[in-house]
Amino acid sequence: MNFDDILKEFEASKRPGYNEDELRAEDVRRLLDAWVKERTVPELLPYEQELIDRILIRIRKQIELIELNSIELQTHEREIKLRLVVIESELDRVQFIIRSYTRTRLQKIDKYSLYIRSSDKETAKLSNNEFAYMERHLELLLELYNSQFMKNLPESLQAIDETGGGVSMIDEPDLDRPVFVRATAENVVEVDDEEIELTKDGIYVVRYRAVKDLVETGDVRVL
Amino acid sequence: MYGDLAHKLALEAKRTQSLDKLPLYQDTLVRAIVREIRDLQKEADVLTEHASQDDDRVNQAQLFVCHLCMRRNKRCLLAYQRLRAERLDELVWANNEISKEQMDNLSPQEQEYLKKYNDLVSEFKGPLEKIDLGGTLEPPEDVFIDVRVLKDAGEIQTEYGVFNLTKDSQFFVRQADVERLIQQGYLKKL
Repeated sequence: MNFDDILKEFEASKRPGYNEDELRAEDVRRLLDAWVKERTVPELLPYEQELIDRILIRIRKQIELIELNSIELQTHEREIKLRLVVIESELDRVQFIIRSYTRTRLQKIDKYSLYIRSSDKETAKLSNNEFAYMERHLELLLELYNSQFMKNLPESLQAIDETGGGVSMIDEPDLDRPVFVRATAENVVEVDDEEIELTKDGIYVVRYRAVKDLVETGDVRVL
Repeated sequence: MYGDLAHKLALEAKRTQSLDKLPLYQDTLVRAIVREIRDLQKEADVLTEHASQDDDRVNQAQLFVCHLCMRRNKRCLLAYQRLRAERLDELVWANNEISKEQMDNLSPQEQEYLKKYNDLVSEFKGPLEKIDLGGTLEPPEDVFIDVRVLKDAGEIQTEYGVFNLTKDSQFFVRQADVERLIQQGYLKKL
């Protein structure tokens, strides 16, 4: 554990009204939430840096705990076995969710890299690691296109981010894609000049564009 | 006719989508399409020179068609290459050994790309090593599973002891420990 990690743990424990266990449970809930959102909405969402960092620290601790105890297990069978299996199941699940979360983000990043690069607002949603990945992957793709055929084309045709001529080469997330949502508060949204009332706990299928802001504030949860 | 070759390439890309393995890189076809684009460019250049003299509708239409063909050809080339690059990316993530016949189907440039993308992915995985990003994207069910050994895989060391994986034997092991061996076809989950 390095210095930063200790600081982060300390800061987390300072949050009022929570004890450590509740805090952890809350983090797992938030992770689940972030994962469901990322998988459901068409656009890339901001990376949950602090949340993931906190959980990664705990995962490391859990793995250490398991390793420590399983060595003992081999020498003398102890009652700890059941506890270890429970910890491992939970660990497996959390690891799976972070894996799926990260891979889903990478898919979106690969698909929309040109679009993401074109706006600071989009770029800010990436973690440093993701940003480095996107830049390098694009560079590799360009290298491939160039060496394969692009360098032999007339200069006027060498761009890969043209938007003229009726066909844009930049793939953008389709914000009009429908999503399933549950409203957690009363709200009115507008779809095609028509106002739709969202009642609390009601479930709706709407275009993502219409509820985008509400998803951000949490007034509406994607399913 | 102009555009025919690119159409062929688009069909080839379509066919590739339904195949398990990437078919041979269509080097000759790609080159022919590039040549066609350059011919079109020359024609367009000539047309542009003549066009400046008067308001010639026929000339303008010809020029327009030239540009359309060139752009369409380019789109087909890019789509073809992008599709193949995506498949190469998948190969890297699957983390299986890439067979020799598959390698032979790639162009030298694609092999280079594959190698570099592989490095990039390892780099990306670095800070998240505890997550095993290359692992299965199926939700986990049981921590421990029964596996049958399909091919001799030697000894593996786990936190729960040492297993000697000889063909046709069966073990009760932690799924995370043998994930890779299942992916590589040494073990089968029962």
